[in-house]
Parts: sequence; structure tokens; C-alpha cells
Amino acid sequence: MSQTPLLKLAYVVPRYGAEIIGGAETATRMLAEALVRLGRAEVEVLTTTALSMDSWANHFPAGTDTLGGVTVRRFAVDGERAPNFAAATRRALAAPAAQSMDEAAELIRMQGPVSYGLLEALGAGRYDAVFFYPYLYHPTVEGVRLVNAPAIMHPAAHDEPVIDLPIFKGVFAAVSGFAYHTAAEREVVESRFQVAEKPSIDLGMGFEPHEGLGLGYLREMGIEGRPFILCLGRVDAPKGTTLLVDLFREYKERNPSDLQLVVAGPVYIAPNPAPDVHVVGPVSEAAKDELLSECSALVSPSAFESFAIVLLEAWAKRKPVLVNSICAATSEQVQRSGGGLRFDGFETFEAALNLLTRDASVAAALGAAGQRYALSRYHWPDLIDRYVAFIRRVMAAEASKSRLS
Amino acid sequence: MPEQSTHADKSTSEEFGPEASTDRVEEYLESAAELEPELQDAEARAYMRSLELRIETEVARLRSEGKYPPSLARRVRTYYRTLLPDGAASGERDFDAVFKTLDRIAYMDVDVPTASSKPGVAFVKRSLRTLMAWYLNYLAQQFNNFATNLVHLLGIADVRIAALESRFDASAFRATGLLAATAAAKAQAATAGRVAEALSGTRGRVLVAECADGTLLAGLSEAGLNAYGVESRRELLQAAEARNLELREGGTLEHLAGVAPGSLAALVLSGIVDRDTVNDRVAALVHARRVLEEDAALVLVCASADAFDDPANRIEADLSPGRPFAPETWGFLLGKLGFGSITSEPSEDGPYLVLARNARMAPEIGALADSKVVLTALEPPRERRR
Repeated sequence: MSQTPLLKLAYVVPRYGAEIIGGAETATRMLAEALVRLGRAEVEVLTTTALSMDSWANHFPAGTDTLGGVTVRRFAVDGERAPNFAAATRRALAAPAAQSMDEAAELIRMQGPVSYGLLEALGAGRYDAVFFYPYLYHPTVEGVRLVNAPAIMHPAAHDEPVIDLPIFKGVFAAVSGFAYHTAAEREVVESRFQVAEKPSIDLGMGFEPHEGLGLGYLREMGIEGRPFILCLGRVDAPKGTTLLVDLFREYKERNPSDLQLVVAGPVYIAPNPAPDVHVVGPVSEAAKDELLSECSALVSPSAFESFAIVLLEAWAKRKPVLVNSICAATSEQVQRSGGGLRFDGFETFEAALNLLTRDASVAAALGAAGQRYALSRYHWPDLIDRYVAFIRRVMAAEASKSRLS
Repeated sequence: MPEQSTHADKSTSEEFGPEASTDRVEEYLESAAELEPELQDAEARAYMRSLELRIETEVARLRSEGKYPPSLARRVRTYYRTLLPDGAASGERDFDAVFKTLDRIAYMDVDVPTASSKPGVAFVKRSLRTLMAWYLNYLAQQFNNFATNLVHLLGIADVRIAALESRFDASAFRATGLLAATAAAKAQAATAGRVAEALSGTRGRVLVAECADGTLLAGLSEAGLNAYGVESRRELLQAAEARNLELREGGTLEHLAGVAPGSLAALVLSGIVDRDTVNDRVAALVHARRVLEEDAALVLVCASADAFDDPANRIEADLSPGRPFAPETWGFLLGKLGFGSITSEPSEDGPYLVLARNARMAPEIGALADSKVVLTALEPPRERRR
């Protein structure tokens, strides 16, 4: 019996590595490693030598490396983030759609990272399909037109001013297929760019449930013995962590209790200090598992997400979640799963938190619904089956288009 | 469907109150696990909605008791400013979200921050604030009065528009999925072979909208066409998913609006052509003119004009805003919109096909695709200009 040949796939992402915790970067690594682990594809990642997304300064050595079974090819950064990028962004995003193509292209170049070596390698590569993750950066904007294979985009798009820059119309049009995190993300893209006829999939992201009890991390962090709610991910004002700490401080003043808030993740903008709030910085996978296992609920305060893997990780451990209703993606995840609650201001934050932390039956029922949802849709083998079928469909469509032309 | 009290019911009873025992919860979880996955999802969503209702009720109660002082509202506004730009500036398109943002920011705060790390500056700032207070308060009072009334007016307008939409949304029943078993599904089954024959050899993307349970779409895919389907009714979509087809969940017009000009090699329209409003049907044809390649095929899979007289279709006939057209009507509309090679093919048992070819797209058609007043598409361009 002849076996289906392994797909040869490439992912293009601005930065890549185990040290990098970020939505698109982590998602790319998880997908790439799952494809290899499950024996469905050979995967190469084309990325830059940058580690910091604030500067895109060269950090890793250029060259080829292997990480989790995935071949990682790093190329030097030729254009880091321009010093005047923040000011230029403020000006441009006051009226993004009114920017000229040249102005928009210049803004993307100033944003960085620019790597001509990466673009050259992309043009020379021979792959069955090339994936771009996310839509926003120079390697995607310039790279989608250079590849000799179907270009598939994981836009990781959300409703933000920058997506209305005119340069993205051509970028999205040049892509052969789209892998969306959620239906909300699909709507964001299709309401702006006429790409609805292109093959697409609402994929989400897979996860692997872990055990994580009694490893002693809570004691090390000084939070053992008292209940806590957890916020996981980048600690940064745009991610909502400053808002969350402010809301929690108000909550504790009005609702005295021994409840704590633990904020774990790399700190970009530290929130204001507040009683019973622990900003513990980046944590290991094991510590994260223990935090998730022991928390009363997980809170996702961000207004700008295209998908939140942390919700799945919390649900895997039967924990309810509380999300910012302004965020269409996390709101959709909660609405579809029935695994949590949403807040749209202090009043609903307070009432929801009271419900989640004072009523064990509510937390248990929401957590159970979330767990069922996460396990039935986002378990790696099933998700990768759907993904590979989609990739083959895009390849077939492109092959048929080539025959036609 | 197994008899099962809903999760939502339980949540409002004492059984799920604060004092519920762990045993009771486990019992519930076990019983929920016995349900079909779709029912479990529905239960979970209903339970979540019931909790959101509890939250809304609690917030309303505390608000009516004056438990949220104005100073709290002001602080929370400041917190949100660290996270969100104004709704309109952030590209927000959802009315409710923008309205909430407007409500939050429509307030001029004269309580200027006076803190400073430089010695003496805080004192100067406080003094200036005190000196200017009479002036700023006067201006702020006028602005706040205007802004409050403006937000209130928008709120009233929203309620009125929502009422109008609710009264005149002729497609509401289609959207609810109440009309799952339709004359269109029968028409698709009866004409699937003929449609596959008519489109055989088509190269490029083919869309079937609505694709119902996927019978016709499966035939096209098996014939080697690069076809995908759109369907808004969840239960039909699930049936189609079981056939391993490429599918999108959504409405026909909404999907067509997101399709690039000239990107389809063929378009099969079904369902919308039988029961939607005349305006929606014409809008679909205008979209077809825009999204089809030049000379690409448009296929309308239609129920017969008297299909709604059939007792089997009585409920659909009563609840639908439109009735099936006769072939002549389609010929008239397609001709007016600039399609060519228009033919109709009746079948023995009622359903019929209308086939047409897309002509070169006139510029005004592309512009009209975004218009609500699609009937103007039927007027000759010169008359429209006058």
C-alpha cells in the first residue's frame, strides 16, 4: 500500500524560539511541532534572528537549527524598529485608510523586522505550501508574492486600526488560503477584504492537557494557601493587565476577602502595585500547569486577541474563565463553549467575579462545559487532521488554477 | 430528543444556589454527559446565558440602590482609557460597542490631575485648578449637558431602529433555521445531475449557495469541480459536513458581499431564489454579475412556481416573505441585469433550472453591489442618471 507522501511546509514568522511567548509565535511553534510530532509533515521555519519585538535587534545566531523536530532557519535583521515608529504610527493610524500605498509601506518597513536574506530564501525555497503568521509584519507583506507554492495566511487579525492600511488589500488578495482562529476573525477579514471565495478554515489552536499539582511553585511564589484568580500571558497595558489590576483593586476595596490575583508572563508594562496582586513574571510550563490547576478562575482582560490558547488550557483543567466582552474572539470562544463569563465594565466584572469565586457549583458547571468544548474540538490529532485536509485542498485548488493558466 | 430539564432552569432554582452541594453538581455533570454533543453545547450555552442574566439583574439592583458612586465610574473610565482608544478610532463597527464607548467618554472631567514629581509644581497646579474652577465648571456643565442629551437621543434612536428592523426583517424565519426542510432542498436533489452536467468541465472556483445538506455540492465535487458551499442553517450544515465538503457557515448575501470581483467560474443559487424578498433576490443577481468571471455560468435552482401550493410546503409558504418565480420572471430580471444566453429547463416533477452567462461587467454593477436599493440596478443607466 502506498503511503501519502509527507508534506513539505514552511512557516514564515518574524521571530521564533522556545524563549518567545507571544500569540502568533507560540501558535506557530505549536502547530509546526504538532505536524512533525504526528508525522504529517516536514516543517521548516523561516524567521529572523530577533528576540525582542520592541526592537527586532539581532539576538540569535543566523543559520540553521532544530527545535522540537522543526528545522529553524534564522536570517539577520537588516531593518530593526525605527526610533520614530511610535510617532509615525500615531500619525498614520489617526486615518489609516487615507494613507497612500507608499506611506503604508514605509510604516511597515519602520515597524520591522526587515530581513532581505529571509525574503531571498523564501523565493528560492521549494515547498508544498508556505504559511505566513501573522499578517502584520514585513516578512508577510513582502513575502506572500515571492513564494513558488500556495501561500496560506494565519492572519491573527483583529479589529484594529492598522488593518485598514491600504497596503494590506493586495497582501490578502495574493494569498491562496486562510486559516482563522475563530469565526470572529474571519468576519474581521472578510468584511474588509473580498477574499471569501478563497479556501479557508476556522482552525483555532490545539493543546495538550498536562498534570500540574503539588509541585511547590505556589509556595515559591508566596501565594499558597489562599484562593486566587489567574491572568496568563504578556503583562502589558494593551493586553489589559493594567486594567485588570485596577479593576481588581476596586473589587477588593468593595469586597474584602482573601482572594488574590496572580499575573504571570513576561512583563512589558508593569501594572500599578496593589494589595493581593502578585505579578510573578514569566513562569515555566510546570509552574503554569500548577497555577492553572489551583486557580479559582482564569481571567483574560485583553480587548485585542484573535484567539486565546490560555482559555483552552484553563478549560482542560475544568476551570471557568472570565473575558473582556470587547474582545470578539475570546467572547466567541466563551459563548460557543458556555465555559465562562464576560465583563464589559467594573459592575459586571464585580458581579461575575463574585459568582465565580463564591459559588462552587457555578464554577464547576462552567469549567466542565469548557473542558468538554476544548477536548472535543482542539485536541491535537483531530485538529491536525482538519488542518492537513485543508492544506491539501488549497494545494489542489492552486494546482488546478496552474493547469488552467 | 430525550426529556431533560435545561441547565438554565436549574441555575435559577435553589438547587444551583450558593449552598448547592458538590454531590449535586457531580450529578448534574454526569447527566449532562449523557446528552448528545450538540445538546450538551446548547445546555452549556443556555446555562451561561442564565448566569449573564443573573449578573445583569444584580448590577441593576446595585445601581438602583446607589451602590456605584460617581467617583467609581470616573475611575473606571480612566482605567479603560489605558486599554482602549475611542471606539470609532479603533475601527469598531459594532453599534453597541461604539455606543458604550461613547457613553463612557461623553463626560468632561474638570478635576485635573495635579500631582508632580517637581517640588512646588503640584501646589501651583492645585492653585490654578482652584482659580480656574468657576470657568471650567461653567464650560464643562454645558458640554456635559449637551453630551448626555446626545447620548440619550442616540439611545432612543437605537431602540426605534431596532423596533423597525424587527418588524420589517422579512428574512428572520430563514435565519432562525425554522425552515430547514424546504422546497429548495427538494429542487436541489431533483436537479443535481443536470447541474453537474451543465457545469462539467468548469475550471475555477464554483460556489453553491445555499448548499442545504450538500447533495448537489457533493455531486459537483465528485465530478472534479473546485466547489464549495455556503449554508446558514446549522442542522443542514452538519449534514453537509458529514460528506467532507468545503463549507462556510453564513448567509448567501453576506458571503457574496465578501467575494472578490470576477473570482468565480460558476455560481449556483438556490433557496434565496424561491422564498426571499424580491430585493434580496435581485441583490443576489447583482452580486452574481460582480463576482462571476466574464462568460461564467450562473445556475438558478428553482422550485416550481406552484410549489408553495403543495401541502408539503405549506409552513414554508406561510412563513416565507417571497414566493417561487416563474421562469419568465427570471428571464426578465437576468436580461435586465445584462446576463446573456438565458435558458430555462423545466423538469418533469416541478423544479426547474435557469442557466445564464455573465457578460462583461459594467462599472455601475460593481458599485451597485454595495447598495441597499438594488432595484435601481434594473433601470437603464441613462434614466438613473436623470
